[in-house]
Amino acid sequence: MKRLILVAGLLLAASACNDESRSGSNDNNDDNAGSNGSNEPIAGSFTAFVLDLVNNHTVDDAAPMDYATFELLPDPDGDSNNVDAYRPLF
Amino acid sequence: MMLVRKLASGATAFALVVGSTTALASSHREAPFITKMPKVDGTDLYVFNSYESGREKYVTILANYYPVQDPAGGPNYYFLDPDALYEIHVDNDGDAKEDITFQFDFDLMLGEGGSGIKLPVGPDGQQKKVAVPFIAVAPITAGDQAGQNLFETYSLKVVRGARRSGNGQAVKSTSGDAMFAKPLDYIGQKTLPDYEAYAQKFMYEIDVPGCSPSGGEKGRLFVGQRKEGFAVNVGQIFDLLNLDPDGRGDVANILGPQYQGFNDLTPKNVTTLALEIPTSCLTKDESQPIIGVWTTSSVRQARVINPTPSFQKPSREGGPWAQISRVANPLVNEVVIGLPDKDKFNSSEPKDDAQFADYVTNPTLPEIVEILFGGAGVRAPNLFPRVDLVAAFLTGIEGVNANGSTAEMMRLNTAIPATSCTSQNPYGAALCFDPPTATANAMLNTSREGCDPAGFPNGRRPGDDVTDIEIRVAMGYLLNTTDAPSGQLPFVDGAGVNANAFDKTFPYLRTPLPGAPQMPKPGDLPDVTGDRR
Repeated sequence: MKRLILVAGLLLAASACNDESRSGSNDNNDDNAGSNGSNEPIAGSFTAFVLDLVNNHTVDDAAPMDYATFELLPDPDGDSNNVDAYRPLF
Repeated sequence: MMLVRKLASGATAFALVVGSTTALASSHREAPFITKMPKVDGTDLYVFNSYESGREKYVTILANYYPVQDPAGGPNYYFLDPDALYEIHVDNDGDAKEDITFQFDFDLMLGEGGSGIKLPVGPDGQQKKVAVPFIAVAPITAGDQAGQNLFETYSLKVVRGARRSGNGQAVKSTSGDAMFAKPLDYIGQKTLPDYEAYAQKFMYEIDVPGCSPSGGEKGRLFVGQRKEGFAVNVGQIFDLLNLDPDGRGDVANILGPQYQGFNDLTPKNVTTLALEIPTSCLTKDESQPIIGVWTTSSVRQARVINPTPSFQKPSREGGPWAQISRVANPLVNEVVIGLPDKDKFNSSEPKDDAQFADYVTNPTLPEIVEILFGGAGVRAPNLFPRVDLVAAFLTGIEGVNANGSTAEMMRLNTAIPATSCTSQNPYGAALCFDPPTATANAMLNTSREGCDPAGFPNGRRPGDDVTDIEIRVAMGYLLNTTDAPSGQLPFVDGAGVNANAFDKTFPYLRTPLPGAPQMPKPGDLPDVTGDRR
């Protein structure tokens, strides 16, 4: 499983990753993409978690997310080698 | 924590024990995860009362990062991670929590204002300006850096209170600058014909916010490449302690002289974060002269690789800071903490060290030594729990540098005067004990001949032979000979070191080895007999 992510430390965790307002399916059996055509990540996916972490939790005074928070998140973008999944960060 | 406190209490009554950690090769590549990120791999921490002439009112702190640098490691050499946070923490009230933190934040920029040096290439009239592939394209001196194509700068902040939520203020040079520069690594003698003079240009006198010594003392700051100062036969040690007790000649003899001409780190460089701070700026007050120090590095919790990277944007880092390296006393994570917990130790804080207590009370290293050298009559101590090591590792030595906390920190009693360079003993405070008897443990005696209480484990100076000290302490140097049958054997690793191998002025660690035209071989003699500069 190829991820575009180098997890530095005891990576991530998901707080806003369950944001219901985001579009997309939670179906991690979808091999085609974890993101829809508009680069919106699937809510509850590893991609959504990472995007939220980087965009909304890059602060100096917070503790890192517990590994258990993101350990089992589905990663359809990783599974499908979707190289565009994290493009919004750049 | 209760267990550790109980043990610490026992240890205090127990006569006391020098020492420090157990064993063998400081903190280079010591945990599986940190090997993925050498730029943020802390290797050694030195904390000592400055012994440079005229600097009696200062404490020097040297935090080394980026291990095992081959001097010839071009073309990019060893710039630090611009997305990481490098920190030095100081506990000055004995609660194992940081009261003062120095935060280094690095940045990286191409030459020519960020675009990189370009050369016109092609026939006249059809030339294209093409970026060069090297970080230097002409000789660089203290006065001429026009040929430099990569620049490292950094800011330094002092945070009082908790490192993440405390009050942070910018440290400035006495000329008012809040941005500092780091010299290029020692590419070679053609690029940097006088590296020592060049590096001196990056030495700063600083004002530390919130600190106004009555004598007007100013601090000093330097960050840059230095010659690796740690001496250890790391290859032999991790090769099942391949330190032959019969002295067959091709490896060091574990019971031979302190210095046998071996040191695997002789041909290496390292990157040093060096601070010299007025002592009164570090201590809480004169009644509490003991400080506990440790260094850490942290990175943002997420790193997303840019699939179309540029120099400026190879990746995107985000999320809270996650600590991934921790160093205080040498060799702790390397030879004390078990393999399953090494990464956890690197992410931990001293206040939570009770979770690692078993590694200290029931250490494996002495058992390994017995297994490997039992045929030569070597026996591990048979006292459990190892209250001597608890005192050495976790509490400090009563009457020397114990400060009431129970945590793994580099403790320094700032009230014990520095020993001059020429009078230092590489076995430091470890020689401040009367030998044990069959029933009595070693007893602290600071008037004992050879005693150098300003040395390890009361802080650590570059010339302290911490490897030998730690092997001996692990094998029971401080215990009575009934509990530690081999505790008085003069264990060594054969890679001797002393103050001669270092400068006698800040930052003490010597000019790095050049990448060209030559570098010493692993078997070359460490510079322990050279002139003091």
